[in-house]
Amino acid sequence: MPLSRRDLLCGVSAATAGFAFGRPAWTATASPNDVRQIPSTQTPVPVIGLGSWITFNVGDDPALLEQCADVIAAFAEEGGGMIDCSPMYGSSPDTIGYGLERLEDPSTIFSAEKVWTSAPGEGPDQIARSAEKWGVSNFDLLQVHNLRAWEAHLDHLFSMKDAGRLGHVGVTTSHGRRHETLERIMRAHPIDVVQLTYNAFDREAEARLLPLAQDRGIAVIVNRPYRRGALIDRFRGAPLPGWAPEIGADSWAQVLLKFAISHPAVTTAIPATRKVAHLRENKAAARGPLPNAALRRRIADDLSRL
Amino acid sequence: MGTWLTYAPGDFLMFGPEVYWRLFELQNRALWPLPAIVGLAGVACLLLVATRRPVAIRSVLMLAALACLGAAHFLATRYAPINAPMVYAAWGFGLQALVMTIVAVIGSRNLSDRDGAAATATGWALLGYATILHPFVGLAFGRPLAQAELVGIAPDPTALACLGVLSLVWPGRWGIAWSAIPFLWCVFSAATLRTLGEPQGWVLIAALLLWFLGRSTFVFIPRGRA
Repeated sequence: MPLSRRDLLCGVSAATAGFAFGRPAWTATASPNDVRQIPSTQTPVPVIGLGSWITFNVGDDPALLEQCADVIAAFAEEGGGMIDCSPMYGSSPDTIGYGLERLEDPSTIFSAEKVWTSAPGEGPDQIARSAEKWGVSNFDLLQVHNLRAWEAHLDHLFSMKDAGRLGHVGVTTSHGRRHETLERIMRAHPIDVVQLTYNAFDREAEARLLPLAQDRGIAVIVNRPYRRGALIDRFRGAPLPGWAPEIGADSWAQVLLKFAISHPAVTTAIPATRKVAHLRENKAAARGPLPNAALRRRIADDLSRL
Repeated sequence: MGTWLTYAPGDFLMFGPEVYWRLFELQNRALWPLPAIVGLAGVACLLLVATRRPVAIRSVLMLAALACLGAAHFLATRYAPINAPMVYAAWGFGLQALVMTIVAVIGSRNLSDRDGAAATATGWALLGYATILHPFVGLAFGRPLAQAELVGIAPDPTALACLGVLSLVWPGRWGIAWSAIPFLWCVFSAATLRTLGEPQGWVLIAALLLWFLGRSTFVFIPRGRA
């Protein structure tokens, strides 16, 4: 019996989803806003992920390690999704490994790591060390961090994917840097995922990269949705705008996050936190309505004036 | 090059203030009762310097060398896991321990030398601040005493103590050369603290300005007027 496209996609999805931890459990319970798909493999990914830059770099501090483990446990309890890290983030990979080890069921976690070295020959060893720290045999996603030595690293990542040792391949940038190179890579290479900075104030990606990602079927991970907390600090104490109830936002954090994830090209956003309450607040942003195109324009205009 | 110009100091910061200050609490707890002992040793050093006897000065210099090794230990075992380049800073403090040993061996000046009065005053101020006041400065910024930074355990007060001792015993140009590592550390640490948004960075900057004024008075103003 010939395979239909649907059968094929379901098969690909089963093979790639939860690559590191087995089959994920999001699809049965999540609402449409909660979960998006990586276009190339139809892998479902909860739209609110978890970053680890700065927040999980706690060394061997036992109290802070526990805090981080609690956040990871709450993340899994809230449906899990992408946890993103990098060898550049100090002890963050070890912290994630510590948290994952305590999970009874890590199957809802989508493991996203990076390769970050200017020496391409060091990439495989670095990836192996990261996997050891996470406590996984393979990653769901490996990304070339900040486009560092990207050509050679991409070759290696694609070979890993072809060999069945990796779920997805991606590249990252942040702070709006090197978008021209990113665009060139998106056009020329069959990457699954691109990670970039996008929020109500950093909207350069809207012009070319986000539409291109939609055209090319590339998933988009949004980093710095709060500009490392600076945007939340900026609006702290200010009353929520009149349109906030329309999108079910109870806080400025949710306003900002709902703006980022409401762009149709965005697959997941990865705010970082070391507080369980903030994690739950972030997760709640995916529930309820999201702004439509008209309201998104208004949000951007209003926030720029505040 | 163009891309690098778009980075702000905060982009290189890999940890938050809570994690940073807790490093000292963890180190103090792990080494207890050493923090109490080095606190008392700091006061003893001040008394030894006050005697102005060459053997006492040499002893203080050797203790300063030991203190640098203690700071290097902190950098390598506590700080480096959250900030990998601190391994190099640990080697720097190890080198400074060697410098302090060399200075102790090859001699020190007579502390009553009037030519270096400003450098001497600066030296007393920095050494006194590093050993007596700095451990308590965190209280002023709302941090617990458990996170006290002590000479011989934490790098900032150790670097300030080295600058102070060297100002006392070697006020000339060579003394500035011997002070390069602690000076550079203090600049780096002040920048880190300010990037973290910590007001304590201003304290370090003030200490560096004091050191600079004391040093420049001796080096750049004709002898007999300082």
